[in-house]
Amino acid sequence: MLEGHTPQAGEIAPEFTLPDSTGTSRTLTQLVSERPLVLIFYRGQW
Amino acid sequence: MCLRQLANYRDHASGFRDAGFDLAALAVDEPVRSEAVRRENKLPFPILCDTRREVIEAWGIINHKEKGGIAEPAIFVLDRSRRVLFGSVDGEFSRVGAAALLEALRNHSSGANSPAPRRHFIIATLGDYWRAARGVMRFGVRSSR
Repeated sequence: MLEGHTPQAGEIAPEFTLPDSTGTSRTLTQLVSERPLVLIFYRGQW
Repeated sequence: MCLRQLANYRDHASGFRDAGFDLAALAVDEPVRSEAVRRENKLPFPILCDTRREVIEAWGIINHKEKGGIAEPAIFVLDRSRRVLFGSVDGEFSRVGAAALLEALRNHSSGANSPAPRRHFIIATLGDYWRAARGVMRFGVRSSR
């Protein structure tokens, strides 16, 4: 999946599982389970 | 630049909470590095660590030109079933910041008056708001820091 697919408005964003900065494993489903989510992709520290 | 964007969302975190939204950030930095960023900037939301670039590749928002691939600046608003309400990749909203997005989400939540179907409603709201407030936001966001 080199190109990937950017989820468009109305589509279901694909599930993922990633550690957060404290090492806790998080899934996207958990992150949206309480309330809608604003997900911010940023460049990183540099 | 990237950290200023996060600080901008930190400054509006309570506003997003009051409007009914949670926040999370994602970058390719390893957890130790991201945790330092989170603490130094007092971020009240988690930072997800996509060190293997799995998510940014799958979502097609990887910038291969830098450092083994980093995330394009992007914002996605998802509902509780992971449905995308709004997305912006390296665009106006992903750069301009929290105040404009929060205002648009508030308008969306309060129902306002738009004949558009619910699914498309937020898109129209955001677009309209952007066009109406473009100049104000440009200057407003910068001067608030």
